[in-house]
Amino acid sequence: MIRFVKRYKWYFIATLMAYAAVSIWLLLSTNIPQRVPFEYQVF
Amino acid sequence: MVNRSSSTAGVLLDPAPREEGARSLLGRLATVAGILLVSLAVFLALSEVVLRVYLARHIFYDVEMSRYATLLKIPSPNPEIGHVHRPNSAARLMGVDVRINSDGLRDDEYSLARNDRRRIVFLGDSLTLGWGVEKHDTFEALLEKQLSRTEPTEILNFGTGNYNTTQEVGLFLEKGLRYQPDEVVLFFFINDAEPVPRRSAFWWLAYSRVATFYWSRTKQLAARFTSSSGFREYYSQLYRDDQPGWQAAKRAFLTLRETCNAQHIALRVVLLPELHELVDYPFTREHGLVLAFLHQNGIEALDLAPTFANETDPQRLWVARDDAHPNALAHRLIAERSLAFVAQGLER
Repeated sequence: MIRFVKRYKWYFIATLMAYAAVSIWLLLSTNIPQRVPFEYQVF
Repeated sequence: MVNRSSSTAGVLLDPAPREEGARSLLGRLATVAGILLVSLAVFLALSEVVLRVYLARHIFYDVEMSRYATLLKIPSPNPEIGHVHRPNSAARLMGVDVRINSDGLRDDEYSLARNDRRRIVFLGDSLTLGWGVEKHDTFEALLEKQLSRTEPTEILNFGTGNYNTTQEVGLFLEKGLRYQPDEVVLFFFINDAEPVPRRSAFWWLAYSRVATFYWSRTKQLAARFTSSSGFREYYSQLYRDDQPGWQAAKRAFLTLRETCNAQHIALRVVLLPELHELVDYPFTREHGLVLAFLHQNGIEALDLAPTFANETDPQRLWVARDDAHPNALAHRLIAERSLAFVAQGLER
């Protein structure tokens, strides 16, 4: 596993950055005044 | 001498190079999948830590609701009720302390036996509970204080988050009736005609901040693209005649009326406003349906929405930008505007 991670470390870093970018986009695009019905139980 | 054509045909007919190519393609796909999955696992673990650190100082409404569900709610053995508050529990939610007493109420301890005080039971959902508002700022606490100026009065707050009318009445029959109140006031909100919520098979994911965040935000984003009118359309369709939630709410009102009549308890209903748009209130028709049903069945009701019709900036009444529950100011206005109506129930 460690060898695998070391071998593809730049791919891992790029993928992590992509996940982070999507998350920040999700946070910003939903950071608006509430306009959906009350959500009492997320699950 | 090499026969070129027969050599090419041999390669094409020989399955070994093709298998090797397929194996190489599979290997590459496995590598890509491995990179994506391992980095996703690392990312989710890191995000959980980062979110928990961030949320120690900031508040996300959806995460707070998940915390409420995991910290203060437990399943009820009664399927009509669904869930109840965990007795003797406490949590800080939406920046305020919520303490649940030994009987599952966000309130002080009360003995079942009556004393010399007048006694009122408040039924409702998270608005009556006082979600996002300190206990002493809730309309329940303010009305108790105000009514006690003329005669000692105690109000028991049975408000529970995520309840509809069926659940509110179910809880009253199971617990509230034992307190022998003089009056019951049910605070009705537009979403009280929803069906009884069922516990998700993925309830355990609510313990994860990152799972809550992604699930909730993705749903919010999807709702924005799939529905142009969002909450308005959603709440309006709850009141169609074929909706089981609305039918169940009507049955619950009648059950509550019969019980109160039999026990000589005054029954009153207050309709609370939905705080997104107050000047041109979008749920006038739905409030009218509820009021008509209550009046037809001899239940006294007060609609507070028209008393908020001058409010041009509804967000000043919200708990937070991402949470349209009534804040302390809105609770004060609700208390002021329902005081006379609630007091009338004690005059019988």
